[in-house]
Amino acid sequence: MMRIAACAIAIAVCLTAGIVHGQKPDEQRIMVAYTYYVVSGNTDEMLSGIRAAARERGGYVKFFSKDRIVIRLPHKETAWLARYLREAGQVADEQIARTDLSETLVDLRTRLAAKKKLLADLYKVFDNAALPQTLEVEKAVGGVIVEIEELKGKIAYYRDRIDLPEITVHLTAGPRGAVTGSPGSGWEWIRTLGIESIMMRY
Amino acid sequence: MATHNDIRHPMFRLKRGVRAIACIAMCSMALISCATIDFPTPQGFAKFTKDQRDYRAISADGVRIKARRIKNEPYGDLRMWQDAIGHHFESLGYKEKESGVLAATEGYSGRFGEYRAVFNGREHRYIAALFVGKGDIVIIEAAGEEAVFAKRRDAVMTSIRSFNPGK
Repeated sequence: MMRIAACAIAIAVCLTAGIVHGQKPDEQRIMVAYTYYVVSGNTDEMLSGIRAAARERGGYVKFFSKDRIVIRLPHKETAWLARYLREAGQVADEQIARTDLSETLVDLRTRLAAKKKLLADLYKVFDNAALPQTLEVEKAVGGVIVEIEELKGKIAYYRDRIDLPEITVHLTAGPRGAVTGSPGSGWEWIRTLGIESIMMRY
Repeated sequence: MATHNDIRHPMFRLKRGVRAIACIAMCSMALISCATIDFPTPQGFAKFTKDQRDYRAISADGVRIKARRIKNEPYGDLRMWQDAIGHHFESLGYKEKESGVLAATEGYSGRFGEYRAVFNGREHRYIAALFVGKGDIVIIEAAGEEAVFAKRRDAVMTSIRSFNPGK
């Protein structure tokens, strides 16, 4: 009795740690979505900056309009984007939503492993089947292959959602020069110094 | 009896003297503010010649240099102005990478600061060099995308270091 209980606990621990069916223990299983509300003195410039960054940093633009852009960026680049938004504008609000997909992924992978085992068994039956049974086994094999591909597709979808967080940036036009929220220098000539001035109004 | 408008009257002479001094002062101020800048164009840069007041040059890969002279008014020393522009860049989110002293020439003392910042979604480098004299300040700016700026940096710094703001 004790042995059965110990076995059950060990299986539960393995499932929780995600080491069943090839899932690495340190694998990221949290889906993150970021939403920023940014006030900028030049929304067009900011929009083109975000689009260029998405392209160059391994992500892509999912949607964009004049006042909203939705991009997907790799995890390691999200901190960069947050820094860029703070430097280029004033972040009025920031929301982060996290969804734990551990259970979903473990469930899908368990079902996938079971279906793969079933498919292997069906192939064995198929090899030894007599002609009248062959058609039935072939039909069953076809059904299992479809289910396996569906499961693989779902796993790939969730993995993609996890690996590339979705970032939505709502842009609001603000007065030029007020984008950093700082009153700025007291000298007119000092306020004209900087990269933007030399690169854009050269 | 000589009146105030009479050429022989001491008040007339005094007024004329004050007017002459004011005129000289205004002319010298105008000269300071309009003085051209003899900045040595770095190798690989083309200088814009139309604008006689400010110095502007650009490289083939888009690194830009701009130099201008402004009045040191209200008067401040190098440290004061360096702090003022430092606060400005800090408020813009620039990260200082390097700073240093530039050789003092003909009554000017100078410093430069090199900064890194994100502009238009790309990493940029920016150098601001400041030469402060008693009557005027010369400010030299250079900026470009990080990768291309790195190639031009030495040429830009050589020109800044050899620049004589008093000329």
